[in-house]
Amino acid sequence: MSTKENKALVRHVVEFWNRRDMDAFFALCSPEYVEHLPTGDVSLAQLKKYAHTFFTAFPDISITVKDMVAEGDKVAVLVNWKATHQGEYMGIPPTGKKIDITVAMIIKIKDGKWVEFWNVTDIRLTQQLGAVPK
Amino acid sequence: MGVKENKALIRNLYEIMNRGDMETAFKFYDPGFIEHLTTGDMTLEQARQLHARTDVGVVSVTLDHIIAEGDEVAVIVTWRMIQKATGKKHDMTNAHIIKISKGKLTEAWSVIDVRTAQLSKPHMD
Repeated sequence: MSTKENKALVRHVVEFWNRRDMDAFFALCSPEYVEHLPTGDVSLAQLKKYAHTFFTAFPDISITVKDMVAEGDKVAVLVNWKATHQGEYMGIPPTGKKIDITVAMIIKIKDGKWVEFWNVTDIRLTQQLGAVPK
Repeated sequence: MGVKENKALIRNLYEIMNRGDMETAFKFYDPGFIEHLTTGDMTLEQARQLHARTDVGVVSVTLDHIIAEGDEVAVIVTWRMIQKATGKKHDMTNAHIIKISKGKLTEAWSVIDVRTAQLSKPHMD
């Protein structure tokens, strides 16, 4: 796939996330899909279990693409998250606070499927929630 | 400059930062450089002041990812930091999209790792 197609695929996934259509997203992940998070690697099977927890924590989350840079099989993306913290997230009990943060992601794509993912979460998350994630 | 040259420039910059030679590193930036942090904009002069005043030292800088397109280079960089007062080490992984013009960094959009909250707050004022 071209970088243009890879960027379009990422935009589709963001739309799926905003529609809470995780099955559509999971269908675009390869079976060996791995998210390399600062807290450790997460497999597709683990992600499928965790997704419900995430959307319980931020049920009204809205994700907007701010910028994309693509080369070869990778796409770097900056997205904005706007949400209300209504469930436990990374050890922080629900606070009811509004968050408005930027998240950076790099996605590796092969044959139209997401195969690897790395992310950086904005330091403002701690400032807005008033707690440090564990 | 092409994508290949822009990537080479950024690789060189982080190698210099990894050697701790920040004075040389700052020469890679256009005088009008602005870093758009999620907490607010920072000029090159403010970045210099922050580097001079921070109570956190740099142990190593690792370029984890580099992706380039047009005049932009996206990177994820891991900094191993040490709190000067306690000797405690922490990693922070930051993401940047850097705009390059005529061989100089002119603008960057940055996401600073949420784990940085474990460190002492940088002095921005």
